[in-house]
Amino acid sequence: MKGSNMEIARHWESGTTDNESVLPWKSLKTFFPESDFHHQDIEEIVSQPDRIYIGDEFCPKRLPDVKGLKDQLKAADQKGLPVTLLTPVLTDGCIKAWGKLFETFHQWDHAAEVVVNDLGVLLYLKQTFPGFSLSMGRLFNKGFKDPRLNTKSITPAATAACFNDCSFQHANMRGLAKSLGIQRFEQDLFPHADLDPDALAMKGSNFDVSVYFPFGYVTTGRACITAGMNGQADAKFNFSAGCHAPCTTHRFKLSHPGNGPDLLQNGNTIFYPYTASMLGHLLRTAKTHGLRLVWQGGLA
Amino acid sequence: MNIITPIRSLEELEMLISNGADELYCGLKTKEWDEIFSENLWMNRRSPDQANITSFKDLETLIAVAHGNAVKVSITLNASFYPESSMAYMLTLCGRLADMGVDALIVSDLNLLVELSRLNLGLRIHLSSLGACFNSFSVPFYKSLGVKRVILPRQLTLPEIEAIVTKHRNDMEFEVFAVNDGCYFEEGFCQTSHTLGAFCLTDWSITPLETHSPGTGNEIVYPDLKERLAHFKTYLWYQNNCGSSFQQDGLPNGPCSLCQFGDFKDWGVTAVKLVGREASFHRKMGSLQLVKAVRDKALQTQNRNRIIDYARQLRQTPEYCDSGYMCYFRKH
Repeated sequence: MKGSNMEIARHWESGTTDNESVLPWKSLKTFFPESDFHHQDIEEIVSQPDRIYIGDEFCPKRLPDVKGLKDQLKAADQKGLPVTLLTPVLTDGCIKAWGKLFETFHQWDHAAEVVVNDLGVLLYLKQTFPGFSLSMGRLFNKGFKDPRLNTKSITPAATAACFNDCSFQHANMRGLAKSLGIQRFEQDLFPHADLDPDALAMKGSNFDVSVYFPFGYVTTGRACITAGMNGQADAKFNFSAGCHAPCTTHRFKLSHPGNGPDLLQNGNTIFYPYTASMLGHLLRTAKTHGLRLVWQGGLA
Repeated sequence: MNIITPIRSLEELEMLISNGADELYCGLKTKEWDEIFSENLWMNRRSPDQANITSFKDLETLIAVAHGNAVKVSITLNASFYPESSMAYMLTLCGRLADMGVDALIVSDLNLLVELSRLNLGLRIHLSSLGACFNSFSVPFYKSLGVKRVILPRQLTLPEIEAIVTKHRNDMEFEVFAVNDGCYFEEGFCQTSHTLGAFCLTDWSITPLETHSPGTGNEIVYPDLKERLAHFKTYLWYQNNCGSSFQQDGLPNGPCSLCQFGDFKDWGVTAVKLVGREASFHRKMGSLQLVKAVRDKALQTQNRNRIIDYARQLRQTPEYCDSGYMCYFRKH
């Protein structure tokens, strides 16, 4: 059951206007044993979203064009749902190229919510569209996510305790975010952190908090294995080359030669699946502490 | 246009200075850090024992000799994230480094940057490439935090570097990568740990998931999956200094931007950087000789083609250069 304060958002990835299959179980079961997945709870809450996320945090080539954006906004309007625009790191050229996209989004709602993952984009949007409600994205939130870490063997205690820490927990970062007009932090569940509800909800910080699920991101970059598998020889791993986004349909499971968990490669980014206890903790904390959960099951 | 070179021990000092290093950078391994965290948590991105100066006495000597030769010294405090529990020690350390006469700190963690801007230790702050400055809009912000130089990330293209540098060259210094050590992921957003080895070099078993297009599977769309992945492995090989190989004349292979030094000079880039603090004496010396030769050529001539021809001639591996994978920064 959905708690009174919690909010559910669904990410319409890759320019889609709806995910008919809320739980793409065929793909998800690669990463989540059915018995451990809180399947029923998740299906129930995800089928009744309060908000839609569009855009992309990791690749500018996956941002919608203006027509795609208008289609998505129209579809969200028809459902009566507010929309959040995710943005990735952008170069000067990309900021200029996507100016029309931001303008269109601004015309739709002067106070709409935008998630930024780059300081330059943040400052550009603040200056150009001061009405936008800006959230600090998860690329700002640094910490320890390496899936190869065996935390049980980590000593001394001071080092082990660091796995509970991340940038958004620091007073300096919160002060900086406040001075930049940030209202919300967007984050992952850190894979090696203790399951502490107050820490996850950043209790006492006055920031709203979103958490992505059921995957967190490990690493990303402009070099893209998926695009590289499909492109012309001189376009492979060329950051300026065009891309017809094979990542929208083709994803991969990465299995570690040692003991690490299976990971998800989606486009230029590698994700880790949350464990059953992480998912359970997240669902409980969302209810008790009023988190926004952002469903990204479609990544798999 | 200065050449900034890594150093990990006093044994390299004379060689680096006599071969033309204008600036040096090094990391530290300290007893105090190890007492709190052990070597399970690194103070910077490189191996404590293989890439760092291990005593303050050595650092003192390094600074004295470097300054005696008009060479500046920077210290890498470039972990992308310092836990709150390390911050008190980090600030004490920074104060000590300022007292010792270090010229600059190379920093990426925003929390540490904010602390340092408050403390105002009189040290120059250089934003590490892990700070991920990907556009010109973020430069004034870093300037407001006291940053004097921005080290641009590897994952930019030439036009993108030009856009940033030419817009801010009058109020910010810029440093770009010159040779060695590619990085498959963008290091500023990579949340893996080098303590376990390079994550990007993991020999993954890669399995296609079911395609989202109904009725087809990746196996059908990619019958040649192995060949396609071979291409990815080739790219990784180039990023990893062409398998850590050397040319026949002993100069090191690896990613570089040598052909672009003419552009860098004209745009107003302050320094070109050799990567690889843990590299061998031999690789460092060869890398420095290579970079100095091309930097000096770029200072002598306005003819870009001559610089490119010279760099390629020194490289002796036209087939590697033509692959495009050797270039940090591509034109298009």
